[in-house]
Amino acid sequence: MKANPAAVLTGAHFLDGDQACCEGALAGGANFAAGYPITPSTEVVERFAARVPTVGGVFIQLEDELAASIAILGAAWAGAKVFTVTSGPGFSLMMEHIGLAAMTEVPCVIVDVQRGGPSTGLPTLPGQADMMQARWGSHGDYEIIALCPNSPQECFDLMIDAFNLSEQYRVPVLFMMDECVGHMTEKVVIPSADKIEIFPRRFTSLPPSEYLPYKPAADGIPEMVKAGDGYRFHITGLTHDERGYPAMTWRSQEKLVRRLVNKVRENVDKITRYEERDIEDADVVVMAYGITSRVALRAIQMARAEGIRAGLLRPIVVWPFPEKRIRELSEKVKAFVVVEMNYGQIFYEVERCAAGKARTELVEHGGGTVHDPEAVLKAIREVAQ
Amino acid sequence: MGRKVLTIGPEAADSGSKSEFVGDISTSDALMPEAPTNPVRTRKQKGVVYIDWDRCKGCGFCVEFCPPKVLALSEKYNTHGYHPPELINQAGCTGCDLCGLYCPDFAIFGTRVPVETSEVRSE
Amino acid sequence: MSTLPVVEPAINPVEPFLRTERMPHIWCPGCGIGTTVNCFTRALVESKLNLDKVAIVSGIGCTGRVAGYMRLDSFHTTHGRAIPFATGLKLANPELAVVVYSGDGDLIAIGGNHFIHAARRNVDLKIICVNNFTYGMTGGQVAPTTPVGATATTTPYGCFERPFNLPYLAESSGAVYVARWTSFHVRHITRAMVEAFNKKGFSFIEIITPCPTLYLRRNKLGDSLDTMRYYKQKSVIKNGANTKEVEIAMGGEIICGKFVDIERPTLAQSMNMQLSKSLGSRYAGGGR
Repeated sequence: MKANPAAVLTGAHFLDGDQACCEGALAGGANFAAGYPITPSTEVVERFAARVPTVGGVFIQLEDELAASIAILGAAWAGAKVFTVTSGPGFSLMMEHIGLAAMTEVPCVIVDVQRGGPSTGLPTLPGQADMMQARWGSHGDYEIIALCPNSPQECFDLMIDAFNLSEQYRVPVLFMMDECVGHMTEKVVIPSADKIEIFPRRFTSLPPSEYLPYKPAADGIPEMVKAGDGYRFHITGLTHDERGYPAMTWRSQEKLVRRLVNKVRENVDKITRYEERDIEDADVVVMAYGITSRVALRAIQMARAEGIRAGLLRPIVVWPFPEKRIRELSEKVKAFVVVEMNYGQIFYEVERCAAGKARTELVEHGGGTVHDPEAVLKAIREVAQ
Repeated sequence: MGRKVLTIGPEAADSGSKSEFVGDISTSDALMPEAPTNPVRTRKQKGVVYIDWDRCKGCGFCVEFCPPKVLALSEKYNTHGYHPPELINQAGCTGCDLCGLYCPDFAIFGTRVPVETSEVRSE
Repeated sequence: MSTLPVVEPAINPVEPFLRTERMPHIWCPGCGIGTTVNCFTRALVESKLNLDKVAIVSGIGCTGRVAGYMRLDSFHTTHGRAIPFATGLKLANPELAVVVYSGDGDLIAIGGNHFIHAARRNVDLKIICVNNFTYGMTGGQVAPTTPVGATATTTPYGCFERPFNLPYLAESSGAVYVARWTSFHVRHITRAMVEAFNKKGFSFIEIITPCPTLYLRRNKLGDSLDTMRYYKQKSVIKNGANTKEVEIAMGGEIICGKFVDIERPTLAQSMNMQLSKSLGSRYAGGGR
């Protein structure tokens, strides 16, 4: 189905990443958000609070991130398309409900505009140190999808993809921005609504007497319902059976949780997305995401000017991790240079997938500002020898 | 899926022994249990209780708070080792359903008996 | 032809509301929660609510298991967060009648912040707070309602914290309907629930119930029946009482009644009023 024209701010705009993220949410069909102020993410919901009353929908600022992250799940069960927005400390608070969303298979988007951490850290400055937390932050086994925009334009485009992925796979989708992308202002082109594809919620057509909330369809994903339609369904965060009733045995655990993780694991090829530049003849692959990928591009240009065959691999979907591509590349290239605004997070995934076939080098940075392209160039030179 | 329900009807005191009518109640999709097969005698009593013998956990609320005091815990055990109640003075039962309101295990409830009926249900 | 009265086959009034396939429930012999559920189902029938539009949200704990046993749209959420979940549900579909059914620990300790804010906002929710003065599910720890001196597993030498006075907390936070009953007062509970269902706004009903296995046993208070007798004996009905004065001390009087019943705009009403005022015809409403 197509986007709602009332929600789409068609035209060319000059927006920062936070604002573009809000517009992407609206275009993607969001009609409910709950939030709590936290720098550098607050502008997303401030704009949503101003926009959604004239588009149609609800925004409410709640008392904390714990409330915000579960209020959106309640709204989703009433049929709404939902998201919330936060940064590091709030992201930590939301972990329990990311787990609940994964366990009860609620489509939702959670935006983390990363800042310097840990703890209160650097509220107004960028970081990329929540990447592993995005994957493993809640307790238990579960899979999420995480997208990483590197420009305000992508903040718009990829938010629509985030909602679509969450509806298609019934998983929480994490939108891992960083403060730099969030606060940089660039041209954002918003197309007309009829050019925007929306993946509709997978509501069942079965009558209440036949419907089972957690009976998977052929693709392993159950159909959904909403409260108030007479289904009298039960949802619990406890390990449950196909009826949605608590079933606390190791067998039901195996049956349920395996299906939950397989939803993503068996669809990696369809979900995975990355951008490559100058890869075909590359000896050195620079792997970077978010704002760091733009610094990396500069370093690659500089390296090429020196005659080093360097290329860029930029994961757009960071989780599930593009293992297959790393493995492929590790057969041909000399080395990977992983550039991230942390002391090593995605680097370990690259190292794991390269499996020793290619050298892996980390250009780390504690956050607070972006890398100097010289530092990246230095690493490229070193591994190119 | 059926459940055994011991119904103490008006005929109980008449025969001097417990009426062991046991009926099956299906799941809530089919709400009506089978009708009693033994016909009911005439009397002025106003109410009757239905007891789910095996649901009861013997807390004693129904016995304690029954206003006409027509219930008492049985000497017999149910399968879980508890003493469920029985109607000891069924003429006095008013069908007020306070027992049903108190019961934490949904094991008993009372209803009023229609006082004038001209038909006997035949099975 | 005989004129024998016929005993119509009857169904326990609670039965149509139960997920019968999940019976028996997990609650202990003499636990008060089941009693409150009977009142709840009677109240649902009496209030003539469209049951397809009733949603019940629970947190974690013994009382939190109520949602799982009810044949309604039911949600067993995380510890303390039933109220914000219910807020999202209600805001996204105002047609739903949303009941939050949970225990004292879940609603008032970990959920305390959400409780006071939802009351402040006057979210149209019916809060059934089953107060057994303990954390039952996890084995009987101290709760914010545990009376001073009472023994609990985490206060083995006696509780030394002053407990919350829940009606006072609810009223001062802004609840529009506040009542307290014990599980002895079954007809009053039912009536209070009917009133709450018919009311718009944050309605709070505290129901004092026995936890025989943990709270009563550890504090040598006898069994459930003894406690029900104590409720009958020591409760005093004072409708309209000053909630500041309804504190409960161990073994003391329990003041019951309807304490608050006022009107003020709900969250949704205020939201719509304010946005309509500011935006006029540009206000597109809640998106439904």
